[in-house]
Amino acid sequence: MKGSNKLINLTIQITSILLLLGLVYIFYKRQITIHGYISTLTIKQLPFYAIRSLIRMTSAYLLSLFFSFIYGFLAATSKKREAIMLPILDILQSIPILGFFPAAVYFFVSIAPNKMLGAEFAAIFLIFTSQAWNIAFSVYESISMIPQDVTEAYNLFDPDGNLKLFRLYIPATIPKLVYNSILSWTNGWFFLVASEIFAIGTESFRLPGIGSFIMEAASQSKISLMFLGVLVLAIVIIFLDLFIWKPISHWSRRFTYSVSPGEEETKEVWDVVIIFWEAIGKLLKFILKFIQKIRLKPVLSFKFIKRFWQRRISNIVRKALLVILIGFVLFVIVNIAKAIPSIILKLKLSDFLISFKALLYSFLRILISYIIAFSWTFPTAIFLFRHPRAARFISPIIQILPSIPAIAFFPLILYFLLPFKNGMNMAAIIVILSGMQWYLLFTIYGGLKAIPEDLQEFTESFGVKGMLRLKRLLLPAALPSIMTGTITAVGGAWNALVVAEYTTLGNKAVSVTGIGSILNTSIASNNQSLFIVSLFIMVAAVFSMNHFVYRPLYDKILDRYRMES
Amino acid sequence: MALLELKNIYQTFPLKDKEIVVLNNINLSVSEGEYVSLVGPSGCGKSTLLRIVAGLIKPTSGEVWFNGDKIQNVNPYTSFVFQTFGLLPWLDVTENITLGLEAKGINLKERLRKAFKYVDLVGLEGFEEAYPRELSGGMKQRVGIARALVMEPTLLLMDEPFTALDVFTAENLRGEIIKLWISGKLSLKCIFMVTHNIEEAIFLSDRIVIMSAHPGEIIGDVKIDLPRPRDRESEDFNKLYDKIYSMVISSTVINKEVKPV
Repeated sequence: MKGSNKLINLTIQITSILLLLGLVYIFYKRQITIHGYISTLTIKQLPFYAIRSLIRMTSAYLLSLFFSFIYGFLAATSKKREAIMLPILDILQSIPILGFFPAAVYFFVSIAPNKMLGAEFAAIFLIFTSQAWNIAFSVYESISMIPQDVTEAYNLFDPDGNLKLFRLYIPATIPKLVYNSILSWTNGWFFLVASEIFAIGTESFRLPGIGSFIMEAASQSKISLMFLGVLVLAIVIIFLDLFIWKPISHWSRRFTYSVSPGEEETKEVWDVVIIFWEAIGKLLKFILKFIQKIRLKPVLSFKFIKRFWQRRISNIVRKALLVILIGFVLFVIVNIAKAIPSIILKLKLSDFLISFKALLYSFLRILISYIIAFSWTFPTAIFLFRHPRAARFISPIIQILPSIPAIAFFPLILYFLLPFKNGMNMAAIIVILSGMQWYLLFTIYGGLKAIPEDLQEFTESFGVKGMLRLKRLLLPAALPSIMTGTITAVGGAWNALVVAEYTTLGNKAVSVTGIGSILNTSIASNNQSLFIVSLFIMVAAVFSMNHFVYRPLYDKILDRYRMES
Repeated sequence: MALLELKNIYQTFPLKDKEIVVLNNINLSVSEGEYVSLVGPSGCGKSTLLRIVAGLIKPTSGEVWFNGDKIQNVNPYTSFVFQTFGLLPWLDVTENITLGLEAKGINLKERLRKAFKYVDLVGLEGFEEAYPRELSGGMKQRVGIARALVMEPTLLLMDEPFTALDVFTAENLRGEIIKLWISGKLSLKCIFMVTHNIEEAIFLSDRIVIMSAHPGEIIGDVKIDLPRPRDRESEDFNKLYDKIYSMVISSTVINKEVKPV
């Protein structure tokens, strides 16, 4: 029973990978010129650029929220849908989506009425792909984990499900939705900057934004502007964290099923923030009063929606959507089938050899970064765990640092390292490392902190100290979180590769051998078969590593080292 | 005429490729004015039976008749009190209590009027705007009871309503339930309660139905006509306790002896 389920999952996942690759192949367009959209830099532009970035982020986030809720909701409310939708979500989350970005840029630029708009769409789409899957998982999990007594009580008091969406499903998803939104938002910054400093071939594709400002400043050797850009980015991120995410996160606790007494007392939201929002609230009230005087009757009242969304209409819509979806999948399949002969004709052994070599180099880069990251974060996490006072002092800093995307420092690093021999290689490793390390530190420290008090007291009182303590208590207890941290960190690293291995500084292309740079150069030189082959090899490598190495290992570790609650 | 009638209820659940019989051939009829308790060892399917009566679960076979109608979906004349309360954490006390009315489309004013009445009746004054997590277990169950009563059901179903509470709170709440039941202030015609606490069942009910486990079958039906308020120390009370206790025990012992064969 379980074996056949696994096989079905694997089939669905491999099919969806192939479909995705086919999609890229079909929409692969040539002969599109793209421009940078950045003129000479001045300080005056900085606020404007920052706002452009923020709008990009927000629209991508809202899009993700909308998509994710529907996807998660649909997957959680039917066993049949769950069997298909969950493996697909798993794939979308684990493959390095940045690899598809060059193709996405070409696609969006070719369909949009205006090139800049197309580039905007592509950037928003990219950020969307970095945020949506994670949030969709949270929606799925929270809906399928509503306690049985709550569901039963709900069904009893509302047998027709009139208010089910607003009274049960949406509130139930809020705590995890908010938590994962914060993660996704942080992730989104990385992709925002990545999309802005991205380069395809020698043509730089740069939209006005804070990321491109930093990159451009670096390539024009305006160091003070570059630092200013990084500073503004940091300020924006920290401001949003304190003034928006912290209050929302605090509010979301109301929706949890239980709160342990000590937890509720932690004061997360600063007084300044509360005063700020109270002031805004007063202002809004004033404006609302003003609007109420005009007496606008809401067109989209609830009754209207309800009447519209009657059974029959919703049935028609549902069927229509299904038909469109199936039609689209068929379209992709037919086109892939048509393209297969030409793909096979174009395939060259040399493409595979080049891709494999590049994959090996990229893999080594990730491995080196991981070894460096682990060798400092693990001891640090243990130190912080042993010295709570130091941790209290440091933890606000290590909470904010990871939210500033490592990729923003890329131009800075490039500026200083490029003059050296192997400078680009070092820069790439540093970018990958800086994306990994905070996350690892965070999860390992979290795992250590979750060690139950009684186990610590027991080892203490039996005189288990030093290496023995490390071997018998700390390492085993941290192992599950080390694994989680590793999987996510390495996943992020594959994405970072695509940006870190190839870029343009001024009009000069800088690159190192690697799968990320191959993806870029092949599409720029219109070498379609190399692009597809390298993308295929990267996705296949990441997928099989996840599926055949990490997951089984993770399951085994979790099985043995999990703390029973 | 019987208010509630169960005819040949048979219920199975899948368990590791096998079907196990949870309820076997349950026939029961309950009249108006009765407080009936269902007593039995754990795993005898008494909670499942209660959910079948509510219409939350459809039996594998058999029929539930209520007031002359066959029950197909959730029975609108019943209300339910849960062992683990089943309150929605994101709604305050008033919102939790009036959820069922809101779903029916009753307007806010009427909802608040009714909520006020039942908040008063179960002793929740001053907690109208509290959230469930701010309440003690006893208070939570008061919300659970008010939420069930506000629907003005004919039949109140309670699934081990006092089990999750501490001894003192439970005793207190039992007294209040019985006072409400006797007072005639409620629309209730019948209470049907599941418990594994025999003493509680004798203290509260007019009639006790005893079930055995594996499979769940009715093995006894005892009328309790002790005068209220009931004295736990009285001889009659203890005799009834011993009688029912031995019925429950004998059913589990027999099963254990049968199993190895």
